[in-house]
Amino acid sequence: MLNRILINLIIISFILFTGCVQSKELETLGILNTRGVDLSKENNGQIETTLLIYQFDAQNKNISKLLSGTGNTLKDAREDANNKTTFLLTPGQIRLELYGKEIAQKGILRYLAALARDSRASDTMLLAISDTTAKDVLMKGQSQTEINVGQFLHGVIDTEYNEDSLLRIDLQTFSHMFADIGHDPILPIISLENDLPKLSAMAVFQDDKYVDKISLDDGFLLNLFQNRVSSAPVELTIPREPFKKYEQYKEISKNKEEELHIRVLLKGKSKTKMTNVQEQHFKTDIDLDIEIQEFSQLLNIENGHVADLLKKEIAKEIEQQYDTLLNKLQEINADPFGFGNIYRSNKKDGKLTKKEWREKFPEIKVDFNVKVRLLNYGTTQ
Amino acid sequence: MDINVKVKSNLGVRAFYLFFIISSLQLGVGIMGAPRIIFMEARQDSWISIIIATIYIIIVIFVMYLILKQYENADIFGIQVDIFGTWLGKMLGTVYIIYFAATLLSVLITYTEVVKIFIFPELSPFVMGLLLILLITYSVLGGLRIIIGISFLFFLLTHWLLFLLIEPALEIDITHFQPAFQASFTELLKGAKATNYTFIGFEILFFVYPFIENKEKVKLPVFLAVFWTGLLVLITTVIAIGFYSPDQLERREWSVLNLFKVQSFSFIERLDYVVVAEWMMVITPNMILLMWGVTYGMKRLYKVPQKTTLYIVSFFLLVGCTFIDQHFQIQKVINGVAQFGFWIAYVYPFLLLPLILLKKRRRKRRGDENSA
Amino acid sequence: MRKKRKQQLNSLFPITVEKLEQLMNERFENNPDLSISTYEHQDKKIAVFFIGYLIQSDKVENFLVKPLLESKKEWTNNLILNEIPIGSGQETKLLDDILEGLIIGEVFVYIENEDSAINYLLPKKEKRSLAKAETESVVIGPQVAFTESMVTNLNLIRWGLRSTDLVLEKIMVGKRTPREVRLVYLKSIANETDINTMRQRLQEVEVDAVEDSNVLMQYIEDSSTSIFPQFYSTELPDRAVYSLTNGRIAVLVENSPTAIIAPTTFFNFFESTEDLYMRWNAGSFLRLLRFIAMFISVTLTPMYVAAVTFHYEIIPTQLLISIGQSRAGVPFPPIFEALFLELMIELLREAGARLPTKVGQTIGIVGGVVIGTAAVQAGITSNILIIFITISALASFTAPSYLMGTSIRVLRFPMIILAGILGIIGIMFGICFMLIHLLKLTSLGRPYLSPIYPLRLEDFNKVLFRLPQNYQWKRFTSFRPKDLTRFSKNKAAEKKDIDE
Repeated sequence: MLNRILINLIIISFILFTGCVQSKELETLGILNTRGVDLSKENNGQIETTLLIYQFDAQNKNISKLLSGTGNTLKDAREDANNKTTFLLTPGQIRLELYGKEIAQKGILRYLAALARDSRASDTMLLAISDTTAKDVLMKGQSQTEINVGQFLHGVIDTEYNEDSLLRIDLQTFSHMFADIGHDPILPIISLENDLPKLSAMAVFQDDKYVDKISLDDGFLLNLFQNRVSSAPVELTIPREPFKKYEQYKEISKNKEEELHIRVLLKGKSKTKMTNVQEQHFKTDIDLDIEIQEFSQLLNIENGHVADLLKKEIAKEIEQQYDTLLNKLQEINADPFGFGNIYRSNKKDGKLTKKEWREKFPEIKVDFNVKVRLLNYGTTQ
Repeated sequence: MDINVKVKSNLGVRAFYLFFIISSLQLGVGIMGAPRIIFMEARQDSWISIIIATIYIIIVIFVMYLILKQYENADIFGIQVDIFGTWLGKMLGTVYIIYFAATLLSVLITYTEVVKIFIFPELSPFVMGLLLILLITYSVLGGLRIIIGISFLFFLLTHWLLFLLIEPALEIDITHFQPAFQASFTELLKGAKATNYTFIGFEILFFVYPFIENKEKVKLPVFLAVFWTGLLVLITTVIAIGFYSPDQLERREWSVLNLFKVQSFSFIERLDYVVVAEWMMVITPNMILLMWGVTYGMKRLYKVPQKTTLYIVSFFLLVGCTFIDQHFQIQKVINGVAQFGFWIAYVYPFLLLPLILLKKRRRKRRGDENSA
Repeated sequence: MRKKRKQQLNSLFPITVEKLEQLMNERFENNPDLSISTYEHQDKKIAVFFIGYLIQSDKVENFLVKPLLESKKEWTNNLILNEIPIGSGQETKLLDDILEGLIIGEVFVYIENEDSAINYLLPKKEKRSLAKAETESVVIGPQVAFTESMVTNLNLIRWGLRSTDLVLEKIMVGKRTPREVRLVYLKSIANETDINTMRQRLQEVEVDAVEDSNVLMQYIEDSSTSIFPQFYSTELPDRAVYSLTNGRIAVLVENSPTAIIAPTTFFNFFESTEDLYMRWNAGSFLRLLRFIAMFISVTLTPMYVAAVTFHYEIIPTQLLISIGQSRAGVPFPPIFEALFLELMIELLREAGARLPTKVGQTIGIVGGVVIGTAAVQAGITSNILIIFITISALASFTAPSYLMGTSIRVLRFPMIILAGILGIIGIMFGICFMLIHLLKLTSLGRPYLSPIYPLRLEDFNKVLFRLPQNYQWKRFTSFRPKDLTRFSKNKAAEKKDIDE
């Protein structure tokens, strides 16, 4: 008796269920993979999006397609683009969002907020800035590279992240950095070289506005400052002079350079402390373990003295790099190091406004202190 | 009405299962949004608030235990009738039943809303409600042993979700907890009070106590359950505060669910979908126990057959969850239940205990006089 | 049963032989099978009657008729019972008893004017010889299977379990065609309550005919509406013996090559006796594999349907592209595509089961390979789904119990439909519902999900995995056997120091 009621209930509910949730079959969707966001040239205030989508069509072997649409909001622009295709465009698989230079300079917060609000969008999507416009990079890139340029770019950036060369920044980390007081975000910059997209530099933000760029090496320094780096390939340049007497094959060398380039595999971590909260003095200790891979000039590292010299020079070099980077950032008045965050957490009441930190940041003093350990030199000495 | 409950011998439950009963009733929809609510009150010192709340609950549980110990085999309905007389006692019992039903409704509509936000925006609340109510009805029909079995089994089957929190836990930013000990004492207490919607549910001890076989072992599992729930809320809150910056956390309604978004595997991404669906297993025992409490209470107080109550309440729940579907309505229900629960679960036992002790003493005295 | 009627009816005897013959023919409606021979010996008429093909006629000839006629004695009932060299002679007085006796292979001798007939049970049963197990085939260990003959089956069990403790109660089930059912258990181990429950259930079965043990099982199960079998039905004598020594009960039914084993938990259906014969670690691995297989079998295709229909977000990009490409141009929505393919697999399986082995294999290859490839090339299914469907079909065949395997396969269909309608929420609902259902089930009143719930940790090593035999000194406690220990614990705990 009871079972029958239950069974009937189940059957009735099945009948009710059909037609209650809209199905989105994979093959009817245009799945957004990469989105470029630019300011529209024709309509002031509107945005133009360039969409790289996957569409699964039996007649067409090529599954990636480029679309564009304009509108006042991201959704609006997407719907505009949707009018040009039979597939329903959906944002659930966006892996890379590329912002044009101009729009990034005006601030990208509202677009990020829209992404965070949408539960469909992934928190792990990567963000990047285009050197020109996002449209340019995607259009030209797509015609040059044989594969889906979005996937290509994602791969290019992801590789750098995976080998610890750069700070991994996805939607979540960017919003995190932005929302933390006293911490400005950075993003990778994609530029075109012979119409081929390439990761060229790092963009420094003041809040959500793109203000200046720093080199990729500087990007690595930022990563080392914030994360534990497990094995990053780095090239260091140190003066050649102190090592002259240890060089091998001196007589056949035609190298006249004043510098010595070393390729190393770097492992390290850093720790920052405040030495003086009142005057904003910081001290950063950086411990590095280095494996040497390649020299521009062969050296004879047969005794500890050379190794010590090498360590000293490398430490000096890195400290110098940090100092230069900090000076530059203080000039721009953007703090991707996150010193403000450290300052706030050391302050008594723990309160700090963004404005306050902008005033204080150019004045801060940081003592970078690098310690190097040479682990090994490969299979030869 | 009998004050003590006569339990059929085959219905006895080992005290060990109290752990699962209480922690699965405590862990439910509350924990999904708890970090944000606590954080709004106590900021980076939320963890202290949670510890305070847990300790407070342990004290409450101890008081509840003392109350129950005064009787041979009674539940809250019998005790209230004994203390306040039939009329008032039954009324207070009814308050408990209404409170349970309201909590049940709040769980139902909250989960429906979460599913709508995270998975199916166009899902009709009626369908979701129907699914859940089918599950509830089907399980409650099985009786207490089955209900406890469900809370036990589903407890085990949902805790693997903790492993998915490892990834966000590795990205914790310690500076978010610094400088520590900034919150004032009132803020900490406010933060502790903000946990109450998450933590309520331990009142079920007042209901299931008569069914426990080995009453001498009641304390340990109950305390462990409260401790475990406290620990879980603590873990999720710490991860959420460390993972999100303060501004982000304040805006993320279901911060715990959002934590799962960053996890991915080679064959599956976006674990938040899986987690939201899996959460059905978290809330099912929750709702089943509440529904059982309602039917059992009605039977104790008014001798209504449990099946009748079950079907009627199911029907009203279905109606309720179909019509309460706006975010702010839902928030209102949750806040109402939280307030209600605060007085019933956190304060009331302290009022009840002295009354019972008083009555006991008087009874004893009278007994002495009679014998003399 | 016979005794009951004795009170109601009066004795048929004494009666003249002619009259008896006439009466018998009447009741048997002149059936040619009934042979009645009358002899005259020492002026006494003797009637011998039986159904020819039900009895061992050479025995009747040599040991009954010959001595009767060749002796010069004056036969009386007592004399026959004492002198005739066949044992088991009994006196019968009632006509109904005679009729019942005739159809189970009894031979009756009636001497005129005696007040009862004497019957000898000399049945002849056609039976096949022992063969290898088909549905529960094992790689190592005993291969022999039960047959349709009760005598053979009892023989197999007796040889496997030579103990005076072994009880083989006989119960007749079925009103119109009573069938012999044996309740088998070990008196010193099996739980008393379980035995009583089983006996009572068997006695209370009120049906006219029981076709097979699997049918009887459905009459005596706890929940007849459930999709899951609650008793294990096995064709392996070694499995039956193993279960008996663990304190469980077996029920054998005449003319049925499978034995019912009760009580049974859900997990018993995934354990094979082979696990015992293997090394413990390999056995544990295989058992775990079967649990995983069961889970995969129920959820894999529904997950695919849910992901492709609703949640493309959860598929990683690379996988998404390959699934998308294979889905492109498929004219059906994923739910119908999946149902169609599942049905096709079921068709192949069913056809394979109905056909002789050799043809079955051919059909499998033709159906599986040719139709599969053709379907993909024709663009009506995606090849990724074919992979998933095949995996889940394979997985469902790993269950050692054919009944459970079938249940799992049937379960997939509602799961696919749920997934197709409500996506991942539907799947979760299905899983929750199934788990609750499993929790509600009992087998002979014992919880079906034991030892998970009620939790008995000491039983885990018999159910979810397997410890080395030396450590399994306890019986399966969830079934509350009378005697818990298999051997002394001390032996298991024996420890030795390092050998120098």
